[in-house]
Amino acid sequence: MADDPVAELIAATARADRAAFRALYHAASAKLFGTCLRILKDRGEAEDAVQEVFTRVWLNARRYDATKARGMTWLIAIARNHAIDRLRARPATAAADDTTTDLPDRSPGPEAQVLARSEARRIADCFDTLEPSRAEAIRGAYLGGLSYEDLSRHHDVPLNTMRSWLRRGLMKLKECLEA
Amino acid sequence: MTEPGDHMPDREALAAEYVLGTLPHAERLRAEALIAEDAGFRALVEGWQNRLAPLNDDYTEVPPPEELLGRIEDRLFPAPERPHSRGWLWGALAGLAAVALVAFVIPAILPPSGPPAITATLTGDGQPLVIAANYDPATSELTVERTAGPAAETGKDYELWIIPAGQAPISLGVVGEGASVLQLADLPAGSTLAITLEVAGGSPTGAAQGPLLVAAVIGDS
Repeated sequence: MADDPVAELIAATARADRAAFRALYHAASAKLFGTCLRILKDRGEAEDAVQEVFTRVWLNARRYDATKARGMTWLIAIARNHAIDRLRARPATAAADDTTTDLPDRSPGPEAQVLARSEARRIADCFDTLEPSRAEAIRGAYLGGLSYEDLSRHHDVPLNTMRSWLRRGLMKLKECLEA
Repeated sequence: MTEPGDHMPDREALAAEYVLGTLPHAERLRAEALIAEDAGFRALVEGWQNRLAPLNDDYTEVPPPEELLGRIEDRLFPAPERPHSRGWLWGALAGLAAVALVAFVIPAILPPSGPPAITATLTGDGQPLVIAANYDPATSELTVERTAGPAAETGKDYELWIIPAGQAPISLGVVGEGASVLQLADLPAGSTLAITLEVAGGSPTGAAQGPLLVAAVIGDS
């Protein structure tokens, strides 16, 4: 954990150290709020989500295992899972309108940032081996919380076709990352 | 439909789709139940979380509103409100006090200057559990450790409370295995440290709900 201050703060939070919990909030809340906001696209709901995420972090910090994930990866997983659960629990009609706002564009902006780190470079390279529309769908789903329904509507393919596209894409991605 | 991806085992595919986030709500709930009960599936999910983690760089930081931390802390650590909200823990302590409250104040390991450390042993009548507490006013650190008795049963946690004289109990969090160190601004004479048995993670309401096990009143030095 030497190079992972967030992991150290989670470990201290697990010992019910409130000062560490506050420090963890200051270190991670902007990233987690940005994550929830991008998925939920509603400030009030993203605030509620972040409140719920930090409550879970306080209660579950002892389950964090620094040998399995970096601290920020663990926190973002909690935030994404919670935000996506909220999104999927919404009435079906509410989701239909704003799906296109998070479909990734083809401009290189985000990719340029991603390329800054070697770990990120590997996954970017592997994304390049996928068919562009499938890579785009995977990114859009991960970052914006798009469902199979959203994706099949946007790409105008049947839902099951979209699902097998994405499964194949994910498998190819895994093979590439493990090569 | 015979491309290689179709041969991804179903569990692996479900783990990947859960992390990707594309599943409908009912299937997400099923995946979450599997994560909770199936270590093998949980490991698949953790693998995909790490694999896709580089994409997290694309989430931009957006500072949340200033008061959000206060809202979170108010929910997790509710402050005592009115005397009558002290609840049953006081009654339980009054009964316990007659038989089994033990407290020590020992000027342990005298620092060159400053107030002495406070050592208290939390015990209870007929209770195998013993919790040692040590408070160092110089560093404001309270260290608590189980020195005898069993660990909390599965699904439960020992929760530590401070009860300032005449006030409602305030949760100091759950006591894990080994020594727990927490920050405490002050541990004045006349206050009580107590341990209750609560659901895992501690009482969800901020007020003690489980049975009082052991306690100690802090005496004058």
